[in-house]
Amino acid sequence: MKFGNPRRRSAAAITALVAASVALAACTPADGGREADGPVTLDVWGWNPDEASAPGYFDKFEAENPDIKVNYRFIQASDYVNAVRLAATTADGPDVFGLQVGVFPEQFAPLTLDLTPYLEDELGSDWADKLNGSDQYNVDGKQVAAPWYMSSGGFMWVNMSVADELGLAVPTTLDELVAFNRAAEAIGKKGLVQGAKDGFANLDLFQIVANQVEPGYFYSALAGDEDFDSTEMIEALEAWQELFTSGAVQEGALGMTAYPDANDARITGQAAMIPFGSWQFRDATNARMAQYAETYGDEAIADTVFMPADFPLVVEGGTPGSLFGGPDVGWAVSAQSDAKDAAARLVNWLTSSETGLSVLSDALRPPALIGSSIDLSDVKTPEQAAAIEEFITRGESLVGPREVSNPDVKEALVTALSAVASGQLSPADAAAQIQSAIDAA
Amino acid sequence: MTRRTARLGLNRTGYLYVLPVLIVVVGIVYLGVAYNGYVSLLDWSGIGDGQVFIGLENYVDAFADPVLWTALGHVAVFAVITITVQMLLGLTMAILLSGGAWLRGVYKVVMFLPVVLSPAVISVSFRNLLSPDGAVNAALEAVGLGALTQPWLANPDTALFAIAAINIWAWTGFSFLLYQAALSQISQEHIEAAQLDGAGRFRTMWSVVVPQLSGTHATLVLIGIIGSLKTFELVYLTTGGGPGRSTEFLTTYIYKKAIEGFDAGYAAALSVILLVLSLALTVIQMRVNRTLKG
Repeated sequence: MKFGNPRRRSAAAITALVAASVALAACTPADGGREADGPVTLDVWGWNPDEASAPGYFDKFEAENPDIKVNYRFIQASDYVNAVRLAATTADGPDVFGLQVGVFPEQFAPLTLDLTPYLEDELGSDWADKLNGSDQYNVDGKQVAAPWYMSSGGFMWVNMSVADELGLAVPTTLDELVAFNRAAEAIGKKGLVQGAKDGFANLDLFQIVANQVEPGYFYSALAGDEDFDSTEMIEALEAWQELFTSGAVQEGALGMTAYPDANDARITGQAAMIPFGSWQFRDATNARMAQYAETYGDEAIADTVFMPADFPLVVEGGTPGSLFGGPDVGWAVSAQSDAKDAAARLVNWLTSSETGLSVLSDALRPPALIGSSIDLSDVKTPEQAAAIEEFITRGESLVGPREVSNPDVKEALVTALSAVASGQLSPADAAAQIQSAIDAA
Repeated sequence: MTRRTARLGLNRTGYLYVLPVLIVVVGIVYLGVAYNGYVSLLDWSGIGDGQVFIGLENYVDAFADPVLWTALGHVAVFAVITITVQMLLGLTMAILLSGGAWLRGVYKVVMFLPVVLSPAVISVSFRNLLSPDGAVNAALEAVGLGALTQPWLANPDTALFAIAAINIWAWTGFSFLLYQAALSQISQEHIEAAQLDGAGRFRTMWSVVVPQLSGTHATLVLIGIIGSLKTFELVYLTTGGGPGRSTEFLTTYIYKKAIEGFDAGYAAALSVILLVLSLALTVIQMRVNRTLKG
């Protein structure tokens, strides 16, 4: 080859550059590369625990399992599903990833390892009876994930600093709630805040209302055992709409997210109440409040008392106090993982080891392993501890699962709730639309 | 070396220069479009196996889906409002700043700054600004227009227009920039000739300047149409397509179907419809422009 010609030299150089680029791209090592000998490195993805809490779990796991290192990647809940669904189809994705119940176990089942043999080894042949909510992660006999801890919804959290400032008792009826909200607005704050831009927040609040109409009917209707376009659900949707027209929920709720908008408002004392569930139990602890004080840059927040309380009765003649829920997070092992045994060890450690359960207990997260307890020693006040204990006891008798398992039905519900709340759709028409989605599912 | 051989050698070198870009464009963009077209013929969640070929069923369902038409209606309203207002404001500012306005350099920077901001930052910021307790309502109250205060993004009657207003804030600077560049190319002699003939300022602008900007008008309309069809972050991060479906765009609907609904086949079909629509509108707009020029 003659290189005397400048054009030939430049053409050869470009060709070499392109070839080198392609070769380098092909040879780039995958993330989380593992050594042939030596410690195994597991890539773990989740939206829960958050970045601040994660070391509390995984550092302890590594201390007890020195042959395994954990790379935890926290991904915001809003981005999580999209990130994992792409990555879990490749060998470069996570070895272990968090999975919510509802829609996700069935959809992600093809990407996961069947954990049944690992759970049998760890807990015995009756493992399914020992892990609460394990059935919600079982898809056609395949154990897609192991449930980590349980959560329940159906109540609310009250910022007692705001309630004390107003000199008002926690409302127990719709009228009291509206009066409370007006009193809060008069001093430039809000009473009840609802992040109604978020579908999950609306589903949670609607379940509270629907269960006040008739406990458990909502879940029977979703399962097709009862009609959704029934007087019960239309009444529930009417009560739902009234929340937004009566002033029970703040103005502009449909433009506010649950996290961070509404949550920030109640933590910083701009709002008094929020309809969150047991996943916020940690907000009753000194450690969590100190963390909030640092995050929000206000030391006074550390002294705030957040009290769990029943949601007010907003349905005339209704039945308050029903709780719904199930596993909050499950841990799945990727079918693409080349460290499946190590990954399963981590899952077992998180869900049933003494140390793993103690970390959950410290975080006031009731483990899915039946018979576990939680440590209330860091709860700020005896009143909070008593309330939490009561809700944990009541959480053992749930009227139904928090999550909807069919994506089309969930979309129909979420859209209808928003449309009814904004007055675009009547409760009767909404019930009919949801019934159509259930029938088509 | 003959002239033909020299030409071939030059072409070969040229191909090598464009080879990296070709690999990216063909490998990622066009192959991606083709794969998306294939997926649109499937009943598939987008995860794992279980793909079932269903032919054009997704397209039949899409054209019968009222949400598709609602979304396209929103895009059309959004496009008309934003394109018209952005062009008017951009042209006005470009004309005003083409003279010797004081601090015109500062104004130009202020006009263009929103264009370089991330849509995510703009969306989150405006979600706060347009909240019931936000700065927009506070400003209205301060000037005695408290009766106009709204939960702008939470009210289905105002949400779409609020999103359009955000887009106008974000992109008028781009129209301004293009008009400013185009104005600088207009011969001063034409303007002087019109003024010598007795034309006033407005008549001169309307009859002499504006027609000579036809290329810029066409470019902005075309970019505006395509941009409206592609708008996603602004809608998703402000209203999520709600309340209800009052601000649903085709892009947000595609995202919901693909990611939240686990219906990759249907979402792919909607994407193909979006692509075909974009191409069709582009061709129509270019032909109209050519006809007007001719």
